[in-house]
Amino acid sequence: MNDNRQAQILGSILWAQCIFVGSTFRTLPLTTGLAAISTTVVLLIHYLKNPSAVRDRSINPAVLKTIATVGFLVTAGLVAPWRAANRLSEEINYVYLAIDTLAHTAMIFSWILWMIRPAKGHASMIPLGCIITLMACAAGGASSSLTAQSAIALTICIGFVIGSEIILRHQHGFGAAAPGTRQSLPASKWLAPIFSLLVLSLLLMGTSGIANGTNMILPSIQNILQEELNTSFNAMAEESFVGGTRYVRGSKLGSLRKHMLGDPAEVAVQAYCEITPGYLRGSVFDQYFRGRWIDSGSFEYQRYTRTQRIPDRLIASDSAGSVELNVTSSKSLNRFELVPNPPDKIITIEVLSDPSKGSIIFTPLNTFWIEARARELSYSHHGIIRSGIDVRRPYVAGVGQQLPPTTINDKIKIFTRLVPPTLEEDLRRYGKEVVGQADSPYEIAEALSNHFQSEYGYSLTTEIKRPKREDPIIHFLDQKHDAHCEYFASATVLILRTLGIRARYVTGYIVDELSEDDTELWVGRNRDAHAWAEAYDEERQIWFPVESTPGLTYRTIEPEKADLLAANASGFQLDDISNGNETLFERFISWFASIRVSEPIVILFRISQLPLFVVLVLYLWQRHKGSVSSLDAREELRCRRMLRTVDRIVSRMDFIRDPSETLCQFADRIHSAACEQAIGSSRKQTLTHCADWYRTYATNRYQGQTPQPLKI
Amino acid sequence: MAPFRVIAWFRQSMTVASGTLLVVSIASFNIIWGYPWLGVFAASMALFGVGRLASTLMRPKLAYHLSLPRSVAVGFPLAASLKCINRGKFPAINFLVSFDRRTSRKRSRIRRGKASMDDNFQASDPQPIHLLEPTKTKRLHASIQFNHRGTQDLPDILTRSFFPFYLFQVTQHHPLNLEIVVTPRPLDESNDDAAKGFLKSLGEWSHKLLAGDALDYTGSREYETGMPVRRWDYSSWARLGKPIVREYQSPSIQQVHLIIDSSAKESSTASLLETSPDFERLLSAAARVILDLSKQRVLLKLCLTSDQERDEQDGGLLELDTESMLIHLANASLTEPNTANDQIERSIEIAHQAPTLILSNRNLAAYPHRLPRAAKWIQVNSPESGTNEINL
Repeated sequence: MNDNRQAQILGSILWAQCIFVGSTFRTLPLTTGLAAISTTVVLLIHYLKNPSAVRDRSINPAVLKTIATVGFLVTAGLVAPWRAANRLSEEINYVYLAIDTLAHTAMIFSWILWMIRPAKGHASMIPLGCIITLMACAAGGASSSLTAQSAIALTICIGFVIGSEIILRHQHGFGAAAPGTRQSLPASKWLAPIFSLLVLSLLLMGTSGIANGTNMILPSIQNILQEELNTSFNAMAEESFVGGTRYVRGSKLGSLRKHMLGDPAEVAVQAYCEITPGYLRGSVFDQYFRGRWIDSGSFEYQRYTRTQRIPDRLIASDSAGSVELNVTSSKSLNRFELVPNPPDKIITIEVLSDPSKGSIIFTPLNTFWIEARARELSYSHHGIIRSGIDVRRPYVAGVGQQLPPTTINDKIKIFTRLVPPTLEEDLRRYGKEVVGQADSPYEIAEALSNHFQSEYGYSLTTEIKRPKREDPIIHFLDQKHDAHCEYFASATVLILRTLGIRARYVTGYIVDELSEDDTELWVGRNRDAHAWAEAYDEERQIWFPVESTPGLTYRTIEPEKADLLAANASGFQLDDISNGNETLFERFISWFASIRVSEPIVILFRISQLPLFVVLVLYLWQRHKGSVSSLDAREELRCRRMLRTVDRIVSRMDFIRDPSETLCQFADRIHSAACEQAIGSSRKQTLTHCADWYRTYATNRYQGQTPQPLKI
Repeated sequence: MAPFRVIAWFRQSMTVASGTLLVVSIASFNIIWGYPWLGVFAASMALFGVGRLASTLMRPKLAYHLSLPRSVAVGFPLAASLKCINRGKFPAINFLVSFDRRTSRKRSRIRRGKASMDDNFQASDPQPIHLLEPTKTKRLHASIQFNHRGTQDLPDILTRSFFPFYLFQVTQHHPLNLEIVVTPRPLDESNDDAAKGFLKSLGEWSHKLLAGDALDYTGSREYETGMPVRRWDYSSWARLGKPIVREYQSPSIQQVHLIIDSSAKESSTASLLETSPDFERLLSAAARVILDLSKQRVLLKLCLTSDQERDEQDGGLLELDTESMLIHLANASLTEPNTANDQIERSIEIAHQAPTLILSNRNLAAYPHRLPRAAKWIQVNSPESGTNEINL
């Protein structure tokens, strides 16, 4: 590989990185422009100066190291303001900004290094390339699906080994001596590349294997860990670490607002459903303390209160899933019955989670069963599936018309009535004023809801200033300031409790936006995160929703409405059928357009790597066979085998031939040992025979004759 | 300490590529928290794990044979011809062959101060080999230059393999178990003024001795190309019409005795187990004398006062070839002045009236006995101590 070729390959790798970064951070015109300038500079400086070869400037390594360090810092200093300025209009997420800056700095600095040393590159280009890939992936440059991640893995693997081969061969002094050495071994010049290909093939297989294996075991590990560390992790996640990429949890007042504002348009959850899915529950909390909600069934509760959490109910699968999925999944789903005796009229909602955002399962309140890729579910007393589901696969919730009946145990009964003693009096007084003569839970809830809806204003941006010691809910009720859903829901739950009604605080998403591409795909974005209350009707033993946030009405799936809509939509279906008369070419074009970049890469490697490996092994085996089939080689092998046999015999008698010892020296040694040591006669005889044999063997070999095997 | 050894071993085998992979593997382990780095994690783990396995399996299994001269002078590069044989079943790909710097430091025979231990030898740059097929041999030319006199163990051969893709380097040490004698570096005019002075006085002495007055005319003969001409016989030339030269022969100077006084200088504080710059300089001067006189085909007998294997009947005077004499010098060590005096006296007695050259670091006054006329005492001072003192 000459210098020109190496420069071209390094340049191509950098171009690939550049396009990846550009498409991830939406800076493609700028990054490709920069790449084009760098390429032009290299062409101008190196090719025009000496058209025959690209030559690197010889710079002292120590100087180059200093230049590299200072250069990187200077580049970072220049890139940071540029990237920050680009994001001034948005709600700044500092972590995302840091990722963006780091990726661009690494990319620009790689180009600079390449301009200085186009053929040899610089060792720091290897870690810089990794930084670029890591940052671009962290920012969502590749989908979390196995296919996309496998494609990324295979591309990294190939790019890394090529880059390493080019850059490090020069660093270790292999660059200059290559041509002469290879010319002297023309017959075997393909041997090293074939072995390299063989190892590359193994590396690719290993990469695919690890990707698949990790993909299989990761969810269970994540579940275990996330169950253990749920609270502390979520407390951090509330601060939203990459553009609000985590799901809403909202255990702390204000965290939900941050989630909504972090990256409002980002899609959080998607669902296939015939009608609007409405409110999807993600987390439920039952205890309130100073602006924070806690779930008594969580590990967080156990850790903070040092009392045993309320254990979840474990549900095993009772049958295989029967719902046909909209998203293709190679694995079949299992059905889990959450509430016994589901109604006949069920409508399904197929939820697509993003595993990178966490393992929260989103279902409507009136979910009766769920079909998911899981063996056993952990189902909380508040009707939340806490763990067990492989969130990388879609899961289907079976939703009924009625609210499912729920019996609650004594502990839950206590917890859903708990109000901090310091707040109780104020809240009760306030509640009584609002609800007046209302008696039943429904009436009380409705009165309270109406009160908040009519008397209060909604604001997501109002800065709330309150005395430090005052509870935020009391302050909210006193001041009647504009607030967002968290305040309304929290106040509703606490007031209901003081009025003797069990209530709980729920967070999730309102999924009511229809996707532009699909008539059945509904989208819930970060801005659709929401908190509402649920109250318990002791008489009917059901939890029912209470929506107090001004301007919002609780919506969920109602199967009967779906039937009506389906009937109205029948005309539409006829139109759709007529579209089936498309030509083969049109079908091919639409299929081709639907293929993502990642799929061909994965298919190519999955299909080609095993045959490639087999072909290479067969080639080498044939070559080996060919080399040992010649007469000389066979003789050589026979002789070596004889020598090994005798070596083994004497090694059993504690005589090991030293590599630096000649055969005659070794023979003398064992002969003298046989004469001197007090050993048995048979052993002595064997040693003497062996010594003689070694001498004869050495003589025969020296004279080019075939020695005879040892006969004892 | 086993874990630390494993870490050190692993650290030694890492390159920039594997270091990067390790860091990326650790960073991408954050997939357990939901970071979308599954692909990066898989790639880095596979490259790290499979790469390490491949580099271990494909490490070259080599044997080395080295052909060497018996000795080499300090500071002179020793050109060694290294035969590298691939004993493995797989081809050896992308490996470097060099002398291992560290082993030689550990095994140096002569005791020296710390400063000199750190810089025992300089070896040529590692030799890159791209491919060596199984059972095939490759000849390499390496050079090594020793900085200290003595019998030195040759350093191990170090093989560093970078296959595949320079992800790891597998290091292997091949002990040669060979020794080489490093003789003193012959004193050179270019060294310093003192050396110039010494060589001048040596030249004068040898000229006087070998090409001086006592040359006898042995006859005339016709000139042939390349013949050394001392004096043309013009009258015969004119008479015969051919160029005729006169030939002379030195009748008496056929043998010179060289005595090296290896006792320390009077002012020296060096112990007998240590070496000193003065002593090394003395040996360098001795090497120069041996080489110069051997060139002039003079039969040389050497007496080294520190020589342990001396024959009392010969008075410690050894009649050896040039290289063997230099090897004797290589193993010289400091002796007590009294022992040296006795030895010198005995050797002078044996030499009788034959020309004798005594090289010493001491002043002649330190020698308690009387020197015969045929003996010459040269004090080879260190560069700091000034000029040479010559006594006849």
